[in-house]
Amino acid sequence: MRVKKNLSLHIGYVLVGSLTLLMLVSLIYTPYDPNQMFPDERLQGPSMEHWMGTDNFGRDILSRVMEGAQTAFLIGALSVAIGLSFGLLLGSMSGYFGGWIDELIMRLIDAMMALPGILFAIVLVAVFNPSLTITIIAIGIMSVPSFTRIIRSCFVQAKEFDYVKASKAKGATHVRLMYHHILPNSLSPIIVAITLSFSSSVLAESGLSYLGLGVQPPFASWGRMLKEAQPFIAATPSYIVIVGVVITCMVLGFNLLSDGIRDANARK
Amino acid sequence: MKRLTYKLLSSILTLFIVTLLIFFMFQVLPGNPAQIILGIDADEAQIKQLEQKLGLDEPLTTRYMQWVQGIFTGDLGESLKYQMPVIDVLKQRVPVTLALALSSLVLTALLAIPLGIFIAMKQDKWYAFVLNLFTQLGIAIPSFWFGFLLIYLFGVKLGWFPTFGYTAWSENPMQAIRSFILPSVAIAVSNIAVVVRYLRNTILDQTTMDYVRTAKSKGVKDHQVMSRHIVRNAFIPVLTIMGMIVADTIAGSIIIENVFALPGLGSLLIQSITSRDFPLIQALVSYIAIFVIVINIVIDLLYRIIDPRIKKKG
Amino acid sequence: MTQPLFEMIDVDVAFHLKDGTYKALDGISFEIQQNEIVGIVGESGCGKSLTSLTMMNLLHRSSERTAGKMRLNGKVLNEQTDWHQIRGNEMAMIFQEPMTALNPLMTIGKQMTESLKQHTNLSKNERKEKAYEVMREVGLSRVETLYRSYPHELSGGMRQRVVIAMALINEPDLIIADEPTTALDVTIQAQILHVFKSVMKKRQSSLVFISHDLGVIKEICDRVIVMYAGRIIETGAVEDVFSHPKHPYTKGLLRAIPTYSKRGYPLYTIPGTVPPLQERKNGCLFVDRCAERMPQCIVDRPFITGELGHYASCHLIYEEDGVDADDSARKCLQNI
Repeated sequence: MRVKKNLSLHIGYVLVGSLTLLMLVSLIYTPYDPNQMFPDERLQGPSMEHWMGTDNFGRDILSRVMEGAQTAFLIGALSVAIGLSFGLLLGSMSGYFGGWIDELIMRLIDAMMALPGILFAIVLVAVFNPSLTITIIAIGIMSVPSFTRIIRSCFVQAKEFDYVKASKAKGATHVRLMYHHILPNSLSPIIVAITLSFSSSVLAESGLSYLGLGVQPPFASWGRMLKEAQPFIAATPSYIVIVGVVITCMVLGFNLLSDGIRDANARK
Repeated sequence: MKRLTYKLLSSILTLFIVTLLIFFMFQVLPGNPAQIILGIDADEAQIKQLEQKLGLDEPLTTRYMQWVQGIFTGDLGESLKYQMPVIDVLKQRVPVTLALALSSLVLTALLAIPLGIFIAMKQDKWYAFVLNLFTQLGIAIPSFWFGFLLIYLFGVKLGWFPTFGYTAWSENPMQAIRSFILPSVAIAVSNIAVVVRYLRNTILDQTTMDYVRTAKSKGVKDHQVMSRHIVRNAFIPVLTIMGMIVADTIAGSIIIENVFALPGLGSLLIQSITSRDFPLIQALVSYIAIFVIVINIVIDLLYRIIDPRIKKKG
Repeated sequence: MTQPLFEMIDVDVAFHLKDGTYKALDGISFEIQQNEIVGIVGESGCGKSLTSLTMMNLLHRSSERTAGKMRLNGKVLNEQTDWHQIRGNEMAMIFQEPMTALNPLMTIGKQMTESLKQHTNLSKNERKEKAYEVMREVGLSRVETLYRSYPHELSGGMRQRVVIAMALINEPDLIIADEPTTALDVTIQAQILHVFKSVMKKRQSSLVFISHDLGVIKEICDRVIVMYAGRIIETGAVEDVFSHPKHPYTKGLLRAIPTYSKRGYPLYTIPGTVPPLQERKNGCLFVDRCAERMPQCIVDRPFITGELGHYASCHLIYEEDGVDADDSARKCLQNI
């Protein structure tokens, strides 16, 4: 059992690790300029010159995938930061104070969840115009409900712990209690939530960009690459397959990582 | 009864917050909405006219009240793009999305339940990890990309199914079903994977329960212990994620309709965003949200049918 | 001598844990005669419940019977046995926790008649009649209403009666009750014990009654088996064991019973705890806690000995009986 559980952690590390490496390398080196077009080499399959082939403008897919990794990590990190900050604020208040504050915050969360997943982001993008910033904000807000719920349940549980009751009895302030006593003890579920949220932000970004509502040029995005590849699915299936596999690996990697971390913590 | 009343009251509160959110989200539009809709070339008279048409000259609260009233009466103004009442545009599109969501949900139920039981029963086998990895893969694959793969394999290569577009049920029922199969599968994959994983976990939890040992001590055979005792108990926690599954199916069909060019609410939403048809977007989003909330109430009612413990506690 | 109803001969059960495989039951042998009530007693962790699960072949996946034989009515019980035929039919079991032992989503009636459905050809109505009958026998009233109720609608005592009725319904030859009264409060406990006593007298079937409570054992059992750390350390008729305990552990257990005559004195407890699985070595396992330990206790496992149906495994008995203490053991010790 032990080996099996660690396996998801290991596969997660390998996938996330290699994609992180790819992203870091792309900051200083890509095989070609991601935007350079080779009109004579359009829609080629993988070859020695272009490992992942070329797209409909003759651009090197590998270089674009590498640049897309930057976008994916950027959006992932910033949207998690947004989701986590709001989640911490709302979740800790809801879980700590309970009562009508809890009721109101939870109904707000329910309301946000009534616009399932990507729909909320779509509406935000509809109101403002699609751009990198809006994509990040939209995906960030989209992840607020799940962060809020997880942090709330940590606080609800922690409130019952003796050490928390003891510090309360000693007259610790609410803020001190929340952020010095409860929060540090809720770290592991929060870390799990962060990794999970990272993977759903990658999925959301690719979905939004596929719909044309996400990242706009000149930023390369995996989702938009899929959109561009769609008309050529019969001619160059490798294009669409490769980009999709990269997205899947990223999402799978983060999901396995969160699974592995949770199992590792559960075993302690 | 107390629980049901609470659920209904809190749902009404949720509904109120949803309408507020949606209404005011479209109020914070940077600049004058009429200007944005018409573009920079519009002259003053045109803008004035549209403002009046949209009711922008009235105070905010009045407009909100009118709009909420409109949601329930179906009077949500006119679509800017289609030049006809919003409600009529929606009515045309609803059947496609409903049929798609429904067939995807049926597919999820038909496949996820037996698969979840199967995987739970194989957990001590050496290949259990591979099975679990497959469910992880199902969750990780972007549904629209999976749609591409299906199109390529079954549409382009094998030619079994149409690659895009849709035939109305009234025209040719067989063809209509065929045009729904691939998109339904694409939407269902991740939901199937989620339910399978969840069901597997709850079944494994139930397997260690005392009542299972009691059943075995009565001489009940293993497969009957599973079917008569464990599965029903394992299903109660699965109900809690059913609301999420239905919501995800709706969200999934919004993207998938664009992949397969199906004329449902999803493609309508994207088109109206591109043409900045705000009354239509607002109405569409509100109705989806209301639908999701209603589904959650229905699921709460289902609980009481399955779990006898709730009736008493009320 | 008549053939015993149930025999367990030299049974070992091993636990497969992360850091290795350990013997949790070690050489368990006992018999249960027709129409006999046998108590198994010991602290928690000494293998009482494990013994009962082994009898029913309901061991958890991580444990396994590695040696020994079991016989029921002379038939050998092993992996090839059709256990579904035996469980709930020839042997039935009553578990400790009445709150969780019943399926919360199934009516009492359905759960009661499940084993009839499994083992007999009775019609639905006949099964229902039979269930009513047994439910009345264990002292339940308004049985028609109960039959249609769900477990959460019943009190703890009622549920335990239902669980007992469930075990009785198919008239098994042997019933194993694993701490059936432990989770109940004292007055309910007395009622349930009364049910056991009256039903067993009427039914003429055998009962294995597992408990950590010697008082309860004394009240209803004919014979008692004392277990410690996966071994049987003393067994005999209840009167013999209670009046002339041989093993220091049994003596300790008896001293630890709070009684009226001991009022005002501090309650005796046996020092120490049962050694964990990983630390069970050769020799007597009780040695660390024993006030009467001798050098050979550490290295030599005492074999079980005695007469007139009262046996114990303790080096003290050899001394009493005039058996010389093993010299070599003493030498061995000096060399350590």
